[in-house]
Amino acid sequence: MVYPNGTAALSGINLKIEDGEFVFIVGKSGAGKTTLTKLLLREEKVTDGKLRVDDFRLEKMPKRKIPHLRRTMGVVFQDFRLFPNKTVYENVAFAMRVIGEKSSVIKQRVPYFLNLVELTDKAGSFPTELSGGEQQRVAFARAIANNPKMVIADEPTGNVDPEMSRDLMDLLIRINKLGKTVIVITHDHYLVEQFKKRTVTLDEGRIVGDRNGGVAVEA
Amino acid sequence: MKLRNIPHLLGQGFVSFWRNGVMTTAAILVLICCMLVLGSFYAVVDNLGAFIDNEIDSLKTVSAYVDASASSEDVEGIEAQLKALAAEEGSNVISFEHVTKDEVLKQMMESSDELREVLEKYTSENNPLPETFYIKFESFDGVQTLLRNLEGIFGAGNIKSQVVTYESLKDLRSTAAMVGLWLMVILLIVAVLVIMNTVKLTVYARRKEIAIMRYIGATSVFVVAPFIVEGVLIGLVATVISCGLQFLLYNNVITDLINDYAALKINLVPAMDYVPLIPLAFLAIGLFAGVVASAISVKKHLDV
Ligand SMILES: Nc1ncnc2c1ncn2[C@@H]1O[C@H](COP(=O)(O)OP(=O)(O)OP(=O)(O)O)[C@@H](O)[C@H]1O
Ligand SMILES: [Mg+2]
Repeated sequence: MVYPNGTAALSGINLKIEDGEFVFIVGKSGAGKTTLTKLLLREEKVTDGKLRVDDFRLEKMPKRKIPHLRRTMGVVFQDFRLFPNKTVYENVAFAMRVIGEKSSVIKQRVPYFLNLVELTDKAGSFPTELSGGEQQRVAFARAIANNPKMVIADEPTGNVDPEMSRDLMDLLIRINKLGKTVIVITHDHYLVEQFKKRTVTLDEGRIVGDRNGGVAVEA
Repeated sequence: MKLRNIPHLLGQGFVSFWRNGVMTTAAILVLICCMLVLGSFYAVVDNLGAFIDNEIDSLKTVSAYVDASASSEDVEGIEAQLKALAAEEGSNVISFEHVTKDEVLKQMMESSDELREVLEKYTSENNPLPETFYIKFESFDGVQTLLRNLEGIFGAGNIKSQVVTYESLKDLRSTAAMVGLWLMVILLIVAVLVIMNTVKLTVYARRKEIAIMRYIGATSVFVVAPFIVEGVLIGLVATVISCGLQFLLYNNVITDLINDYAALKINLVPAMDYVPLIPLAFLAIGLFAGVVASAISVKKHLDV
């Protein structure tokens, strides 16, 4: 994948993630991890090659299908992407509203998700009134609110303390146990070591390692 | 998009309409100005048209003169020919009137004092005026044939019609209509552009929000709908205000202008005759401008 300015952020990638897998994607800053998420979301388009998510063939998918693609995945963005003029509650509720969820369901489920990320007492706050970790948890609640098939978390533990980080990871594991695909992007090696899950290592836009639960696999 | 989203999207449109008070007001004012210019211009052109139509009716008379040398038998012969012509199918003649030269003299003397002084020396013995026929006809469409037929009866040069006046009035009218049409097109474009600029500012201020909505799977309809609702509201409010202002403007300013500057006494078309045409036209302009402007402004921010 080449950005318009000529930066080849990813190249020669051959990666297959199965339904229900739990995968860490690691790599130095600038390795192309976020670019990979952008491709999956069809925020960027592959400049060469093929990419398939679920039944969507992204390299040739018409634009009008983008919303449907994005509804199959919940993404915790590295920069959170919360609505600045909506409260915590509204941010999560709005995501459900976007996919046409019933108001009664929204009223019932938003508090549940806020409780899950321990933000019940911040429900009325605006994102600017929250710490980085709190914003990240809002993004997390929003990502899982619509019960997506796949959850992608870009640096989900970057802004939270170790204990919270542990809780978020537990949550991701639980989500994965429900049969959902989980992709966690991080450069926290310690985190990766703890969980013994499949780990794909990126460096300068290429895959340099693909270990399965600690066992090295040829890339 | 699901139906249950509609109340939410309508609500968002209303909220945004109120929140952007200054911009909304600006857009509404521009629309009102465009509507009023158009409405006023239309009213003036229409009044001119009505006036011309009236005039045209009074132009549908041909005067035909009998040669002074003709005897009274000749005159009777001519009258019989005319009767036969009038009776013909498709002759275009509605009726004709024979005015004897004595009556012509009398009519002319009665018409003004100056004429009376000039004509006083004439009596029925030395009356120089011709026997005259006034022929009223149906329409200007077949008038050339009629004129030829009449020349056959009265002789070339004895026929006087108002065809030239009619032609120039007709030209005037179509020119006015044409100018009106172009004015309308131009003003509509101006309205769309100005509102577009206004909505663009709103959209620009919310571009991040729009992008996030797209990232979490909002369809373009979901994103655009509130802006369209906002555009519709702008159009509706402008329409209501313009209708009221246009009514006042017509009954006061425009009426005075026409009465003061037109040399002729014109009977103005009553304001209520423009209902529902003008309000509907305003509504169409308002909705068109509002919706098109909003849709165009949001469109390019959808692409994320
Ligand atoms: N919009 C863009 N236009 C041009 N180049 C870009 C753009 N976004 C990223 N890049 C470049 O692509 C490369 C990969 O960037 P990417 O954001 O995927 O890195 P990353 O692995 O997520 O890094 P980090 O750990 O710091 O988040 C970098 O060299 C970056 O400078
Ligand atoms: Mg990144």
